Amino acid sequence: MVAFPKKRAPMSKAARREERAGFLFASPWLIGMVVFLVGPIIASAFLSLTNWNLISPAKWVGVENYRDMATDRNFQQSVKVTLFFMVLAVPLYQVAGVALALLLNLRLKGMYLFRTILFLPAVLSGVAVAVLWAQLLNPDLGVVNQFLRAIGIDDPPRWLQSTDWAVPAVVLMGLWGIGSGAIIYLAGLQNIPPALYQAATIDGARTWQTFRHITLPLLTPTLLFTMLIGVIAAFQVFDTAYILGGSRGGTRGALLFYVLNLWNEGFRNGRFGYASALAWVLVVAAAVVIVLIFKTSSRWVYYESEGG
Amino acid sequence: MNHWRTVSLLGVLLLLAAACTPGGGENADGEAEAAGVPEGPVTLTLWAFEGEEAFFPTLKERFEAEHPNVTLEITEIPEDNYTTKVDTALAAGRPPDLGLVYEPRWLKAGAVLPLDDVIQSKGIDLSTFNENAMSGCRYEGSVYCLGSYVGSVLLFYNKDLFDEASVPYPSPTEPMTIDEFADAAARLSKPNEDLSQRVWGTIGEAPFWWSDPATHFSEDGHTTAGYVDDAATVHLYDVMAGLVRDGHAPTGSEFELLGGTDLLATGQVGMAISDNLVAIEALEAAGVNWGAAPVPVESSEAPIYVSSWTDQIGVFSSSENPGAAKEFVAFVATTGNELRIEVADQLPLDSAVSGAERWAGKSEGRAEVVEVVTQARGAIFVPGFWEVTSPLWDSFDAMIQGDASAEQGLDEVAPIMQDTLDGSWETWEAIT
Repeated sequence: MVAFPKKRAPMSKAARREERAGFLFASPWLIGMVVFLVGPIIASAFLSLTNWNLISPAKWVGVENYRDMATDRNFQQSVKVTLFFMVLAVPLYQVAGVALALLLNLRLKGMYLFRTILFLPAVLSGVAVAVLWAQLLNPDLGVVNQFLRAIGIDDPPRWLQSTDWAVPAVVLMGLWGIGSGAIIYLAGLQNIPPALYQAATIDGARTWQTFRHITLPLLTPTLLFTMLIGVIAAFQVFDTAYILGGSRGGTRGALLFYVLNLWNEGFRNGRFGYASALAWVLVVAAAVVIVLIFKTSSRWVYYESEGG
Repeated sequence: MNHWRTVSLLGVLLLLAAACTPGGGENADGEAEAAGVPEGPVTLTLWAFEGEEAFFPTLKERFEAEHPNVTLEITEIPEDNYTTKVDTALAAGRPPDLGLVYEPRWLKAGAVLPLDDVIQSKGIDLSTFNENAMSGCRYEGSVYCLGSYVGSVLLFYNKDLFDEASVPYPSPTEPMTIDEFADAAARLSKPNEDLSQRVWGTIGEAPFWWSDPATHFSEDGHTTAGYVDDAATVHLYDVMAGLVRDGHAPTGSEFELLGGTDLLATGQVGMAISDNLVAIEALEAAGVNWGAAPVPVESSEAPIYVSSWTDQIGVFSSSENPGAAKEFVAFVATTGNELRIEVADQLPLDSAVSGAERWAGKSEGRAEVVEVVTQARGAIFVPGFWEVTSPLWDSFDAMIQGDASAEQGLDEVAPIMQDTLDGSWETWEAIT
């Protein structure tokens, strides 16, 4: 039998009054969203098709800004740097975060103290952290290289002054703040029913088997969440790159992240039309990556409620 | 009901998009008041850099004393954020009356008023104003800003170290060639294992920011490939980088180990390329017996070059009190120059201003500074100069490290610089 959707019954006066009141209460936020978010987003889409420089009237140039990207060395370099960082950082932060969470999940005396200490870097200002690490990673005087020389590495990397090691240096800095990610994994671990581990123990499962068949699958929803957050954060790297490499993006553009290049084009070079086009390319690229992650997630993310 | 809601929402969005569309800056084609302060109360707003604790308050006091109906409100803005704040204010149609007009595109866009009328009515003689510094104020035959001081890049040297090494003092009128400069640096150097006791001949500086732009660009500013990588410029970079490699100039690490102190002021460097605003104060505070000369040049045929700048105070086109604002700029160019000497002990933009001779007479070094600075000539205009030359920082570092020769380094950056320069000119031409 085919069921046709019913027409919506006309609203009563009271229901209409309630609906209007609802909109009224939500209106400050709605107006703010439209004025400060939706409006500028629509405007930037239009601006990306112009050569606006902030002080002269915007002139229509069509897709010229998008075409210019194909030959723009800075654009190409910024894409390379951002992708390199994403490929290196996102998996590493997830592995390190899970490993740390497993340690923090142990029932040891004083574990709350360790959890607090490991979370502390997350509350520090990103700028202060970047300035601190710039000193630590000084190739000649920094503590990191002094330690490496002490353990026998005579020619340690020049870190931020090296085109090969600048991005790994930023990844290393990020590892210091892994505590905040570990807290999220810790919450995920503590949601796993202990009965599963008890049953596995009774069946004679070893540690690795328990981790492989119980912990990891039940942690996959958390891993999906942190992967998405990690990818978005990788696309948005700016303050760290600016502090460590300046607006030039460090030695030969080794730290010229995408958003830093976008900021340069807009605020240093006065090319707001082109910067808007860069912003839209970023939005589309991020959307594509996120959709891909979601589409593939059904193969590796296990939701307890789905059974299986 | 749903249909109307949708239509209303779309309408609001479209209105907002239209409101967010930029209209561009104000055009100077509107009628501007002639120079002169109107009779009623007037408030002028000036956006300036931070750090002028002595000069601007005194300037304000004197101007308001001469024009009792005018109140000058000065807002200090960090130099790093200045251009962005003014750009944003121009886009919003709400810039201050007066500002430091360091961006040539503001002039081209008509966001700044020409000052030719007030210059003529006040009889300001620009022939005695530092020509290189005034280059930033000129556009298409008109003058758009005036200043109170001149900052110039010169070669400062320690006369006692020169005497000890029996090296003749550099001439304030004839620049050394880069080879003469390197030879002097080598003779001045005194190696020592103890860094705190060591003396270097000079400091190895990437040439692009102090040398004549003609070494890097064509006269019209449109071409850099073929100039930045020509034989003479390659030799310039090779010599400067070689001074660091050979130990006659400190490396970056040695600088850091010494805590970033002013090595010229502490007597650990024989000569250094620096700007007069910083160097004179440091040298006099340290009690160094110092002198000044023009920066070295590529060859004996190359003319002297003195890179200079000033505070470039101008009037924004949307000012509601253009007459009073222009009056203030004229005041800066006249009384302001005298106040620079009196209050800040800095070299005035106008070499003929009362007190300039007294400033020069305070020491031999100061007299030499004046001798050098008065030889300044006009500059080549290059839009986006710092953006175009930015690859040269890394290239020079590579030359110092020995990772690339000067020829290799400059050959590599020349096409990159040319591409960036072409883009800068395209952006410049699009400004209307």
